[in-house]
Amino acid sequence: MRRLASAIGITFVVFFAWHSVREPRTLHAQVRAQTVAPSAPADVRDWDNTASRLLRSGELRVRLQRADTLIPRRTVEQLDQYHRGVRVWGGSLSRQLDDSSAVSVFGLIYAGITLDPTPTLTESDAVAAIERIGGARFSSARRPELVVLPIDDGFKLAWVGELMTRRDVVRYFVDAANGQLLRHYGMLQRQIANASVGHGIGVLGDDKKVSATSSGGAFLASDPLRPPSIVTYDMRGNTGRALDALNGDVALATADVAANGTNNWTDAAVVDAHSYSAYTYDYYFKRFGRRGLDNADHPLRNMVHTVNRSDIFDAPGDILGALYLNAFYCGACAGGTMVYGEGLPGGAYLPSTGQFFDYFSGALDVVAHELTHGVTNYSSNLEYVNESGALNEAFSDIMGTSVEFFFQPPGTGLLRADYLIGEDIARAALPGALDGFRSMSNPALFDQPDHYSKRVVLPPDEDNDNGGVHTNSGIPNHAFYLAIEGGTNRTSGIRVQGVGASNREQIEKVFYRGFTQLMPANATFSVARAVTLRAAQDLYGLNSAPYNAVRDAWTAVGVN
Amino acid sequence: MRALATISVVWLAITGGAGLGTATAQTAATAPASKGPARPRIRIGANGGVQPSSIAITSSTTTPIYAENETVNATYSVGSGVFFDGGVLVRLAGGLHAGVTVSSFMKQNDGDITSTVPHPFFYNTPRSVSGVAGGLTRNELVTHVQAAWVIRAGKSIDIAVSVGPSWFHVTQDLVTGITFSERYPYDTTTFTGASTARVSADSVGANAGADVAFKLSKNIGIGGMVRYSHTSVDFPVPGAPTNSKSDAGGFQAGGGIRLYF
Repeated sequence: MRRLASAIGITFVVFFAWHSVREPRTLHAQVRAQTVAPSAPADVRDWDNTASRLLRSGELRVRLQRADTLIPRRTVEQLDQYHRGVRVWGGSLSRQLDDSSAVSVFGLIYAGITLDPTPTLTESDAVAAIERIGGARFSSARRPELVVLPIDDGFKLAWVGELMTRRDVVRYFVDAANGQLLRHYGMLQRQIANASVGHGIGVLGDDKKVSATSSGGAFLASDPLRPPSIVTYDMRGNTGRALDALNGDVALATADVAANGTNNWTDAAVVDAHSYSAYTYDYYFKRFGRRGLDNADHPLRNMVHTVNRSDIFDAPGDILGALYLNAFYCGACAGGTMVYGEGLPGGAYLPSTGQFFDYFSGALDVVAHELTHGVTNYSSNLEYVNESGALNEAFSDIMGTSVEFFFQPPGTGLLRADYLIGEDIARAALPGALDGFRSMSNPALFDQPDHYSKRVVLPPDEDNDNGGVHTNSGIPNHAFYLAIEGGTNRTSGIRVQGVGASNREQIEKVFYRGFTQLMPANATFSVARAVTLRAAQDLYGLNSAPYNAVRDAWTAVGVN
Repeated sequence: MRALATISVVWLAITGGAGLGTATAQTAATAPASKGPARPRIRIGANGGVQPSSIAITSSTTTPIYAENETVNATYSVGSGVFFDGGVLVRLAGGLHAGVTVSSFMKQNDGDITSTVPHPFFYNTPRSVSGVAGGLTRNELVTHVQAAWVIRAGKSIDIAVSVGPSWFHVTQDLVTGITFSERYPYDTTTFTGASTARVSADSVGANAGADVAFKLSKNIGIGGMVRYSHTSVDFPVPGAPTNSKSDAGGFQAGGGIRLYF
């Protein structure tokens, strides 16, 4: 029964196609579109016969015929529908043939076309009309084509042509009777349809570009230009919702995404979290060809304003340490989320360090440091205790500093690349206080060891920084520094010939390869020495300058 | 000023030639005037020929993109091409004539494009793009008003020298933007096409020329001509803060038929 009904349908369409030729003026113009998608072999055979008949009558013409590259002896034809010699826009069939019989027929065929295919407008008239509408010129390679255009209530004889306007290639359909515009649409297949690059003012007052998404008249801190999803959420001080989201109890929604009405972003914490996380992705891609945290464009999710600065004086100690004076990457939080601390209110400083703290997203090295924890999670997965934990921390500092040198000019002070960590957001408030959290060139400035003999040995628990991971990281940090810049270790007195700042890329690659490709999860400092030397040998050869620099640097910090 | 000087040079050359012609005419003038053929009152000429001059044009547009401005500079060189003209001279008195000639010059040319496209992520990190826009049309439709002095250089040969103002209507296709493709990390871009606009401008200039005609019969002849005309036009460029300046006209040499009445 189904087959019978289908066959009747076929007859119906063919009838109109035939009838439209014989009695063009007796049928009222009305769009009758027949979708062709037969599945039963008999129906396919019927449509195959119909297609052959329409080909013979000229109502179908072969536009393309090619051999199937995947299946032998198969041929695919693309057939366009014509009405009295004029192409019917959108009417076409695709026929797959096996030797001489049809395997499939798909497409859309219009029936009931009665219009006279003689245009009032000449091709030159059409060119002029389209150029007038589009405000641009036809190129010599593009000429308009006369077509039958199906519209809502019938068919129109139209000229269709493509114009290259200032930002797009636009296809215009103009009425072949009077030159009026019937339809137009952009043809440029943009990579990003709704990308919008705006201005943003960062934490340090610097102007930077913000890659945003336009949506409903607003702009969202969702980066559509980079391969991974990079989204920055503004929790607007709703700590409970932030914690629920991090715990996976609630899902963050579009309404949580940081938004701006003008694409001139003034929320500095948002601007820097969004931009610097993107910069970090860029660094890994450009320097190492790595695609994000997992090398597969894992989404980057930033979270800012999890607390209000004004609430700090009432904040519990754990919230103060976690959400005000910290930044962290939580791999288990909603698929991996970066959380940036709110810092301290203006004028307030932390008595224990004598430092002001700004929004933690305002330091590029801090952002890159935290995201590198994600890289470690997806690569070596260094155990976050004792020496492997210190290596985990050190690799984040190493990459954080490397990102800084990649994007900022070297020097001292704000927005300059140096071997301090966090100096852009932790600034001295009292005499004798320092900028930053750690120093790779002189770890002792921040009570970190610069030599293995000075390492701290602590119980591997939370009360003791998992065995002093943020303390002992000074040792591999300093080795990295010495391998690039060279110099003398203050404890051992051993002098290292570094590769020089202009060759820092070599040492960055050595440490990247060692830490992400060769490093086991439970590595010790000694293993770190071995894997980075292996990486240097792989990349530059045994006893090459980078190899020797890395070897001597580890030796200088007492790691053998 | 440069253009006027050029015209003067041409004019001097023409008058030098005319001087020789005049001497011939004066010799002929010793004979009774009634023996010479009657001077025609109206001379109509139609010519085709070449305009070998080369004109260089530049245009510059800026378009905001990626929170900065994209700059598109294009240079066009309009080379030699053919022209056609038609005109009429009416004798006023003696050898003095007044007339008008309309000439048309059309040439297709390419536009060489260099563009700097801002980087989507970073300020002051433009990417250079270059390409060519082909098939750009230039059309010069010029109306030359002429005061001419016609002298006889022989029984069947006339020489006319002329000078006068010219009204130029110049149409030119100019590049107004480019399309390009790019992909992450967006450090380079690839030129994919250019958008163009047809602009026109009017200007008044000057012309000077000479015409040598050989009569085949009382009413029909053939002739050759040279003409120099010049002006400068300002094209308004869509999207550009300043107009695009261009010379127009130039040297023309050709030949065609002459009708005498």
